[in-house]
Amino acid sequence: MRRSIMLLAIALVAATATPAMAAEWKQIFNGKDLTGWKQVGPGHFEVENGMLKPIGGMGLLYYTGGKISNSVIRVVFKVTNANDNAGVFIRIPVEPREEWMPVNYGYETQIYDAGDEHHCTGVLYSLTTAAARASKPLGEWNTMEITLDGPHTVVVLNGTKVTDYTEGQPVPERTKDYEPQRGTRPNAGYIGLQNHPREDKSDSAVYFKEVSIKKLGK
Amino acid sequence: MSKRLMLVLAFLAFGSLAAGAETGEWKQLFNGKDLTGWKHVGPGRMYVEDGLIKTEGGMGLLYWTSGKVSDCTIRVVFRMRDKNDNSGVFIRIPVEPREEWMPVHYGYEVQVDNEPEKSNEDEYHYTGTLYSLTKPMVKAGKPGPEWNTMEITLDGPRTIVVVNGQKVTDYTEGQPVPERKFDFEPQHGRRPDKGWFGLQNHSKDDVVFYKEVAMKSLKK
Repeated sequence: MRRSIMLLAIALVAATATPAMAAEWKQIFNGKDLTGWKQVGPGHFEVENGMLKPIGGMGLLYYTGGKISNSVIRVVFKVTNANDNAGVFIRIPVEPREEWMPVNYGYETQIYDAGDEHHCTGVLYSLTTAAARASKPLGEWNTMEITLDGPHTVVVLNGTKVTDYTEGQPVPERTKDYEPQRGTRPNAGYIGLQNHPREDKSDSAVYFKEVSIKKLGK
Repeated sequence: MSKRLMLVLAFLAFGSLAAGAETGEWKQLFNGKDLTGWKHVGPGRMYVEDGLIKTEGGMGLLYWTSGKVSDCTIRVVFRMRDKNDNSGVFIRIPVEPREEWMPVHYGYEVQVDNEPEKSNEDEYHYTGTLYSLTKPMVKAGKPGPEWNTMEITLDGPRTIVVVNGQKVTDYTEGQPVPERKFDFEPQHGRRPDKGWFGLQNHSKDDVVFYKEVAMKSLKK
Protein backbone atom coordinates (compact mmCIF):
# COMPACT_ATOMS: atom_id res chain seq x y z
CA MET A 1 0.00 0.00 0.00
CA ARG A 2 2.62 2.46 1.14
CA ARG A 3 4.78 1.55 -1.85
CA SER A 4 1.93 2.09 -4.27
CA ILE A 5 1.29 5.56 -2.76
CA MET A 6 4.93 6.38 -3.33
CA LEU A 7 4.72 5.24 -6.92
CA LEU A 8 1.62 7.34 -7.37
CA ALA A 9 3.44 10.35 -5.95
CA ILE A 10 6.35 9.80 -8.34
CA ALA A 11 3.92 9.51 -11.24
CA LEU A 12 2.23 12.78 -10.22
CA VAL A 13 5.54 14.63 -9.95
CA ALA A 14 6.57 13.33 -13.36
CA ALA A 15 3.26 14.40 -14.89
CA THR A 16 3.47 17.94 -13.55
CA ALA A 17 7.16 18.31 -14.45
CA THR A 18 6.72 17.30 -18.09
CA PRO A 19 4.73 20.31 -19.38
CA ALA A 20 7.21 22.77 -17.86
CA MET A 21 10.07 21.08 -19.69
CA ALA A 22 8.37 20.83 -23.04
CA ALA A 23 7.08 24.47 -23.04
CA GLU A 24 3.40 24.68 -23.90
CA TRP A 25 1.67 27.17 -26.09
CA LYS A 26 -0.01 29.78 -23.94
CA GLN A 27 -3.02 31.47 -25.49
CA ILE A 28 -2.86 35.18 -24.73
CA PHE A 29 -6.07 36.11 -26.56
CA ASN A 30 -9.01 34.41 -24.85
CA GLY A 31 -11.33 34.55 -27.88
CA LYS A 32 -13.93 36.51 -25.93
CA ASP A 33 -12.65 39.91 -24.87
CA LEU A 34 -9.55 42.10 -24.54
CA THR A 35 -8.54 40.91 -21.07
CA GLY A 36 -4.75 41.17 -20.86
CA TRP A 37 -4.51 43.72 -23.65
CA LYS A 38 -4.49 47.51 -23.76
CA GLN A 39 -4.98 49.94 -26.63
CA VAL A 40 -2.81 53.02 -27.23
CA GLY A 41 -3.08 55.54 -30.04
CA PRO A 42 -6.01 56.08 -32.42
CA GLY A 43 -8.68 53.47 -33.10
CA HIS A 44 -9.23 50.20 -31.30
CA PHE A 45 -9.82 46.47 -31.69
CA GLU A 46 -13.13 44.67 -31.46
CA VAL A 47 -13.74 41.02 -30.74
CA GLU A 48 -16.03 39.66 -33.46
CA ASN A 49 -17.01 35.98 -33.63
CA GLY A 50 -14.05 35.02 -31.46
CA MET A 51 -11.61 37.05 -33.56
CA LEU A 52 -9.75 40.32 -33.02
CA LYS A 53 -10.61 42.92 -35.66
CA PRO A 54 -8.79 46.25 -35.98
CA ILE A 55 -10.83 49.46 -36.28
CA GLY A 56 -9.32 52.78 -37.41
CA GLY A 57 -5.78 53.59 -36.37
CA MET A 58 -2.88 53.81 -36.52
CA GLY A 59 -2.80 52.41 -33.03
CA LEU A 60 -1.50 49.48 -31.07
CA LEU A 61 -3.10 46.85 -28.87
CA TYR A 62 -0.33 45.63 -26.62
CA TYR A 63 -0.12 42.64 -24.33
CA THR A 64 -0.02 43.84 -20.73
CA GLY A 65 1.67 40.72 -19.37
CA GLY A 66 5.13 42.31 -19.53
CA LYS A 67 8.23 41.90 -21.66
CA ILE A 68 8.70 38.79 -23.80
CA SER A 69 12.04 37.21 -24.74
CA ASN A 70 13.36 33.81 -25.79
CA SER A 71 9.93 32.84 -27.01
CA VAL A 72 7.95 32.04 -30.11
CA ILE A 73 4.92 34.25 -30.74
CA ARG A 74 2.31 32.65 -32.96
CA VAL A 75 -0.33 34.74 -34.68
CA VAL A 76 -3.05 33.24 -36.87
CA PHE A 77 -4.68 35.86 -39.06
CA LYS A 78 -6.43 36.49 -42.35
CA VAL A 79 -6.50 39.44 -44.68
CA THR A 80 -9.55 40.00 -46.86
CA ASN A 81 -8.52 42.92 -49.10
CA ALA A 82 -5.27 43.50 -51.00
CA ASN A 83 -4.85 46.87 -49.25
CA ASP A 84 -5.34 45.58 -45.71
CA ASN A 85 -2.56 46.58 -43.37
CA ALA A 86 -1.64 45.38 -39.87
CA GLY A 87 1.39 44.18 -37.97
CA VAL A 88 2.82 42.49 -34.93
CA PHE A 89 5.07 44.65 -32.76
CA ILE A 90 7.92 43.05 -30.83
CA ARG A 91 10.92 44.14 -28.75
CA ILE A 92 9.26 47.35 -27.48
CA PRO A 93 11.63 48.51 -24.73
CA VAL A 94 9.13 50.22 -22.41
CA GLU A 95 5.39 49.87 -21.81
CA PRO A 96 3.68 51.81 -24.63
CA ARG A 97 1.63 54.96 -23.96
CA GLU A 98 1.18 55.97 -27.60
CA GLU A 99 1.80 54.47 -31.04
CA TRP A 100 5.13 55.95 -32.16
CA MET A 101 7.63 54.85 -29.54
CA PRO A 102 6.93 51.21 -30.53
CA VAL A 103 7.72 52.12 -34.16
CA ASN A 104 11.01 53.84 -33.40
CA TYR A 105 12.35 51.68 -30.57
CA GLY A 106 10.73 48.30 -31.32
CA TYR A 107 10.07 46.34 -34.52
CA GLU A 108 6.90 45.87 -36.51
CA THR A 109 6.60 42.50 -38.15
CA GLN A 110 4.63 43.68 -41.14
CA ILE A 111 1.31 42.39 -42.45
CA TYR A 112 0.73 44.02 -45.84
CA ASP A 113 0.91 42.07 -49.06
CA ALA A 114 0.99 45.13 -51.33
CA GLY A 115 4.34 46.26 -49.91
CA ASP A 116 7.74 45.91 -51.58
CA GLU A 117 10.31 43.38 -50.36
CA HIS A 118 11.20 45.56 -47.33
CA HIS A 119 7.57 46.33 -46.43
CA CYS A 120 5.64 43.11 -47.02
CA THR A 121 4.19 40.45 -44.77
CA GLY A 122 6.76 38.87 -42.49
CA VAL A 123 9.57 41.42 -42.74
CA LEU A 124 10.74 43.70 -39.95
CA TYR A 125 9.11 46.79 -41.43
CA SER A 126 11.53 48.72 -43.69
CA LEU A 127 14.56 46.92 -42.24
CA THR A 128 14.76 43.40 -43.65
CA THR A 129 14.35 41.89 -47.10
CA ALA A 130 11.71 39.20 -47.52
CA ALA A 131 13.40 35.84 -48.13
CA ALA A 132 10.10 34.66 -49.63
CA ARG A 133 6.55 35.77 -50.30
CA ALA A 134 4.61 33.25 -48.28
CA SER A 135 1.16 34.77 -47.69
CA LYS A 136 -1.95 32.70 -48.33
CA PRO A 137 -4.54 34.08 -50.76
CA LEU A 138 -6.99 36.68 -49.47
CA GLY A 139 -9.48 35.23 -47.02
CA GLU A 140 -7.36 32.23 -46.05
CA TRP A 141 -5.74 31.80 -42.64
CA ASN A 142 -2.05 32.54 -42.25
CA THR A 143 0.14 31.33 -39.42
CA MET A 144 3.02 33.61 -38.53
CA GLU A 145 5.58 32.47 -35.98
CA ILE A 146 8.00 35.06 -34.66
CA THR A 147 10.93 33.64 -32.72
CA LEU A 148 12.78 35.91 -30.33
CA ASP A 149 16.02 34.13 -29.50
CA GLY A 150 18.16 36.65 -27.62
CA PRO A 151 19.09 39.22 -30.29
CA HIS A 152 18.01 36.92 -33.11
CA THR A 153 14.58 37.36 -34.73
CA VAL A 154 13.15 34.74 -37.09
CA VAL A 155 9.79 35.09 -38.81
CA VAL A 156 8.19 32.05 -40.39
CA LEU A 157 5.02 32.57 -42.40
CA ASN A 158 2.98 29.48 -43.27
CA GLY A 159 6.04 27.31 -42.76
CA THR A 160 8.36 29.43 -44.92
CA LYS A 161 11.10 31.59 -43.41
CA VAL A 162 10.68 35.24 -44.43
CA THR A 163 13.04 36.97 -41.97
CA ASP A 164 16.19 35.92 -40.17
CA TYR A 165 17.78 38.93 -38.55
CA THR A 166 20.30 39.37 -35.77
CA GLU A 167 20.83 42.70 -34.02
CA GLY A 168 23.66 44.68 -35.54
CA GLN A 169 23.32 43.35 -39.08
CA PRO A 170 23.13 46.10 -41.73
CA VAL A 171 19.76 47.56 -42.72
CA PRO A 172 18.73 49.87 -45.58
CA GLU A 173 18.67 53.64 -45.11
CA ARG A 174 15.56 55.19 -43.64
CA THR A 175 13.65 56.75 -46.55
CA LYS A 176 10.35 57.94 -45.02
CA ASP A 177 9.69 59.88 -41.83
CA TYR A 178 7.20 57.25 -40.67
CA GLU A 179 9.76 54.48 -40.98
CA PRO A 180 11.43 53.33 -37.80
CA GLN A 181 14.58 54.92 -36.48
CA ARG A 182 17.51 52.55 -36.86
CA GLY A 183 19.38 51.09 -33.88
CA THR A 184 19.54 48.08 -31.62
CA ARG A 185 16.37 46.66 -30.12
CA PRO A 186 16.32 44.93 -26.73
CA ASN A 187 16.28 41.16 -26.25
CA ALA A 188 13.16 41.47 -24.08
CA GLY A 189 10.25 43.69 -25.00
CA TYR A 190 6.53 44.31 -25.01
CA ILE A 191 4.53 42.94 -27.93
CA GLY A 192 1.31 44.05 -29.63
CA LEU A 193 -0.96 44.06 -32.66
CA GLN A 194 -1.27 47.07 -34.93
CA ASN A 195 -4.57 48.52 -36.12
CA HIS A 196 -3.77 50.34 -39.35
CA PRO A 197 -6.32 51.72 -41.83
CA ARG A 198 -6.05 51.20 -45.57
CA GLU A 199 -4.62 53.97 -47.74
CA ASP A 200 -8.16 55.19 -48.45
CA LYS A 201 -8.68 55.48 -44.63
CA SER A 202 -11.22 52.64 -44.48
CA ASP A 203 -10.75 49.95 -41.85
CA SER A 204 -8.49 47.06 -42.74
CA ALA A 205 -10.53 43.87 -42.71
CA VAL A 206 -7.89 41.83 -40.90
CA TYR A 207 -8.89 39.15 -38.40
CA PHE A 208 -6.69 37.55 -35.75
CA LYS A 209 -8.01 34.30 -34.36
CA GLU A 210 -5.05 33.21 -32.30
CA VAL A 211 -2.20 34.88 -30.46
CA SER A 212 -0.07 32.58 -28.39
CA ILE A 213 3.39 32.36 -26.88
CA LYS A 214 5.73 29.47 -26.18
CA LYS A 215 8.99 29.79 -24.28
CA LEU A 216 12.04 28.48 -26.10
CA GLY A 217 13.38 25.30 -24.56
CA LYS A 218 16.48 26.78 -22.94
CA MET B 1 61.26 61.69 1.60
CA SER B 2 60.81 60.91 5.25
CA LYS B 3 58.50 58.17 6.34
CA ARG B 4 56.48 60.68 8.30
CA LEU B 5 56.01 62.99 5.30
CA MET B 6 54.93 60.02 3.21
CA LEU B 7 52.33 59.10 5.79
CA VAL B 8 51.05 62.66 5.92
CA LEU B 9 50.82 62.86 2.12
CA ALA B 10 49.13 59.47 1.92
CA PHE B 11 46.66 60.54 4.58
CA LEU B 12 45.92 63.82 2.78
CA ALA B 13 45.48 62.08 -0.56
CA PHE B 14 43.18 59.46 0.91
CA GLY B 15 41.28 62.09 2.88
CA SER B 16 40.60 64.27 -0.15
CA LEU B 17 39.51 61.30 -2.27
CA ALA B 18 37.12 60.13 0.41
CA ALA B 19 35.74 63.63 0.93
CA GLY B 20 35.12 63.97 -2.79
CA ALA B 21 33.15 60.75 -2.89
CA GLU B 22 31.11 61.74 0.14
CA THR B 23 30.04 65.23 -0.78
CA GLY B 24 29.74 64.82 -4.54
CA GLU B 25 31.67 67.36 -6.55
CA TRP B 26 30.21 69.30 -9.44
CA LYS B 27 31.21 67.69 -12.70
CA GLN B 28 31.06 69.89 -15.78
CA LEU B 29 29.32 68.08 -18.65
CA PHE B 30 29.77 70.84 -21.22
CA ASN B 31 33.41 71.57 -21.93
CA GLY B 32 32.78 75.14 -23.13
CA LYS B 33 34.31 74.37 -26.55
CA ASP B 34 32.35 71.74 -28.43
CA LEU B 35 29.60 69.14 -28.06
CA THR B 36 31.84 66.23 -27.09
CA GLY B 37 29.72 63.87 -24.97
CA TRP B 38 26.44 65.10 -26.46
CA LYS B 39 24.29 63.97 -29.36
CA HIS B 40 21.43 65.67 -31.15
CA VAL B 41 18.19 64.04 -32.30
CA GLY B 42 15.21 65.52 -34.12
CA PRO B 43 14.92 68.74 -36.16
CA GLY B 44 17.28 71.68 -35.77
CA ARG B 45 20.59 71.54 -33.98
CA MET B 46 22.76 72.92 -31.20
CA TYR B 47 26.13 74.50 -31.73
CA VAL B 48 28.82 76.13 -29.61
CA GLU B 49 29.76 79.77 -30.02
CA ASP B 50 31.56 82.06 -27.57
CA GLY B 51 31.64 79.28 -24.97
CA LEU B 52 27.86 78.84 -25.07
CA ILE B 53 25.59 76.06 -26.33
CA LYS B 54 23.12 77.79 -28.64
CA THR B 55 19.82 76.39 -29.85
CA GLU B 56 18.86 76.57 -33.52
CA GLY B 57 15.55 75.46 -35.02
CA GLY B 58 13.65 72.54 -33.61
CA MET B 59 11.93 70.84 -32.01
CA GLY B 60 14.90 68.68 -31.18
CA LEU B 61 16.96 67.39 -28.30
CA LEU B 62 20.64 67.40 -27.42
CA TYR B 63 21.16 64.53 -25.00
CA TRP B 64 24.09 63.58 -22.82
CA THR B 65 25.51 60.34 -24.23
CA SER B 66 27.13 58.90 -21.10
CA GLY B 67 24.05 57.05 -19.94
CA LYS B 68 21.29 57.23 -17.40
CA VAL B 69 21.56 59.45 -14.35
CA SER B 70 19.82 59.21 -10.97
CA ASP B 71 20.22 60.45 -7.42
CA CYS B 72 21.95 63.60 -8.48
CA THR B 73 21.49 67.29 -9.09
CA ILE B 74 21.72 68.66 -12.62
CA ARG B 75 22.61 72.35 -12.82
CA VAL B 76 22.07 74.41 -15.96
CA VAL B 77 22.89 78.09 -16.36
CA PHE B 78 21.04 79.65 -19.27
CA ARG B 79 19.65 82.83 -20.70
CA MET B 80 17.07 83.68 -23.28
CA ARG B 81 18.15 85.63 -26.36
CA ASP B 82 14.95 87.71 -26.32
CA LYS B 83 12.78 88.79 -23.40
CA ASN B 84 11.30 85.31 -23.57
CA ASP B 85 12.26 82.15 -25.43
CA ASN B 86 11.27 78.52 -25.13
CA SER B 87 13.58 75.60 -24.28
CA GLY B 88 13.76 72.90 -21.65
CA VAL B 89 15.77 70.27 -19.85
CA PHE B 90 14.63 66.69 -20.37
CA ILE B 91 15.11 64.20 -17.56
CA ARG B 92 14.13 60.59 -16.70
CA ILE B 93 14.12 59.46 -20.35
CA PRO B 94 13.88 55.65 -20.09
CA VAL B 95 15.79 54.66 -23.25
CA GLU B 96 18.49 56.33 -25.33
CA PRO B 97 16.70 58.84 -27.59
CA ARG B 98 16.60 58.40 -31.38
CA GLU B 99 14.06 61.16 -32.06
CA GLU B 100 12.35 63.96 -30.14
CA TRP B 101 8.94 62.56 -29.11
CA MET B 102 9.74 59.51 -26.99
CA PRO B 103 11.48 61.83 -24.49
CA VAL B 104 8.27 63.92 -24.31
CA HIS B 105 5.95 60.99 -23.61
CA TYR B 106 8.15 58.77 -21.46
CA GLY B 107 10.41 61.34 -19.74
CA TYR B 108 9.82 64.82 -18.31
CA GLU B 109 10.65 68.21 -19.71
CA VAL B 110 11.61 70.75 -17.08
CA GLN B 111 10.22 73.75 -18.91
CA VAL B 112 12.00 76.96 -19.86
CA ASP B 113 9.33 79.54 -20.84
CA ASN B 114 8.37 82.59 -18.78
CA GLU B 115 5.37 83.51 -20.90
CA PRO B 116 3.36 80.33 -21.51
CA GLU B 117 0.17 82.40 -21.80
CA LYS B 118 1.45 83.74 -25.12
CA SER B 119 1.06 80.24 -26.57
CA ASN B 120 -2.30 79.69 -24.84
CA GLU B 121 -0.75 77.59 -22.11
CA ASP B 122 -1.44 77.93 -18.38
CA GLU B 123 1.01 78.21 -15.50
CA TYR B 124 1.68 74.46 -15.57
CA HIS B 125 3.89 75.33 -18.53
CA TYR B 126 6.09 77.92 -16.76
CA THR B 127 9.86 77.81 -16.25
CA GLY B 128 10.81 75.13 -13.74
CA THR B 129 7.62 73.06 -13.96
CA LEU B 130 7.50 69.50 -15.25
CA TYR B 131 5.87 70.59 -18.49
CA SER B 132 2.05 70.47 -18.27
CA LEU B 133 2.19 68.29 -15.12
CA THR B 134 3.13 70.45 -12.13
CA LYS B 135 2.08 73.87 -10.90
CA PRO B 136 4.89 76.36 -10.20
CA MET B 137 5.28 77.08 -6.45
CA VAL B 138 6.77 80.43 -7.49
CA LYS B 139 7.52 82.11 -10.80
CA ALA B 140 11.24 82.59 -10.53
CA GLY B 141 12.41 82.80 -14.15
CA LYS B 142 14.34 85.86 -15.29
CA PRO B 143 13.75 87.38 -18.72
CA GLY B 144 16.52 87.61 -21.29
CA PRO B 145 19.29 88.63 -21.30
CA GLU B 146 19.63 87.85 -17.59
CA TRP B 147 21.22 84.55 -16.57
CA ASN B 148 19.20 81.89 -14.76
CA THR B 149 20.47 79.00 -12.66
CA MET B 150 18.24 75.95 -12.60
CA GLU B 151 18.99 72.99 -10.35
CA ILE B 152 17.08 69.78 -10.91
CA THR B 153 17.42 67.17 -8.20
CA LEU B 154 16.57 63.57 -8.99
CA ASP B 155 16.15 61.82 -5.65
CA GLY B 156 14.80 58.37 -6.42
CA PRO B 157 11.21 59.01 -7.58
CA ARG B 158 11.24 62.60 -6.30
CA THR B 159 12.04 65.56 -8.57
CA ILE B 160 12.86 69.00 -7.17
CA VAL B 161 13.46 72.02 -9.37
CA VAL B 162 15.02 75.19 -7.96
CA VAL B 163 15.21 78.23 -10.23
CA ASN B 164 17.40 81.14 -9.14
CA GLY B 165 17.35 79.87 -5.55
CA GLN B 166 13.59 79.38 -5.33
CA LYS B 167 11.82 76.03 -5.33
CA VAL B 168 9.40 75.83 -8.25
CA THR B 169 8.66 72.09 -8.34
CA ASP B 170 8.63 69.30 -5.78
CA TYR B 171 7.00 66.26 -7.33
CA THR B 172 7.07 62.59 -6.35
CA GLU B 173 6.02 59.88 -8.80
CA GLY B 174 2.41 58.89 -8.39
CA GLN B 175 1.11 62.26 -7.23
CA PRO B 176 -1.90 63.54 -9.20
CA VAL B 177 -1.42 65.63 -12.35
CA PRO B 178 -3.94 67.64 -14.39
CA GLU B 179 -5.71 66.23 -17.43
CA ARG B 180 -3.88 66.30 -20.73
CA LYS B 181 -5.12 69.28 -22.78
CA PHE B 182 -3.07 69.24 -25.98
CA ASP B 183 -1.84 66.36 -28.14
CA PHE B 184 1.72 67.66 -27.86
CA GLU B 185 1.61 67.39 -24.09
CA PRO B 186 3.26 64.36 -22.52
CA GLN B 187 1.41 61.13 -21.96
CA HIS B 188 0.87 60.53 -18.26
CA GLY B 189 2.38 57.71 -16.25
CA ARG B 190 5.31 56.88 -14.04
CA ARG B 191 8.77 57.93 -15.06
CA PRO B 192 11.84 55.87 -14.11
CA ASP B 193 14.16 56.77 -11.24
CA LYS B 194 17.08 56.64 -13.70
CA GLY B 195 17.05 58.22 -17.11
CA TRP B 196 18.84 59.94 -19.93
CA PHE B 197 18.72 63.72 -19.98
CA GLY B 198 19.18 66.54 -22.46
CA LEU B 199 18.50 70.09 -23.58
CA GLN B 200 15.68 71.08 -25.92
CA ASN B 201 15.95 73.31 -28.99
CA HIS B 202 12.34 74.36 -29.39
CA SER B 203 11.94 76.34 -32.63
CA LYS B 204 13.64 78.81 -34.93
CA ASP B 205 12.06 81.71 -33.01
CA ASP B 206 13.21 80.42 -29.63
CA VAL B 207 16.90 80.85 -29.00
CA VAL B 208 18.36 79.97 -25.62
CA PHE B 209 22.02 79.98 -24.58
CA TYR B 210 23.46 77.54 -22.05
CA LYS B 211 26.80 78.36 -20.45
CA GLU B 212 26.97 75.58 -17.90
CA VAL B 213 25.64 72.06 -17.57
CA ALA B 214 26.93 70.30 -14.48
CA MET B 215 26.02 67.33 -12.34
CA LYS B 216 26.63 66.37 -8.73
CA SER B 217 25.81 63.05 -7.02
CA LEU B 218 23.54 63.17 -4.00
CA LYS B 219 25.12 62.22 -0.69
CA LYS B 220 23.74 58.78 0.00
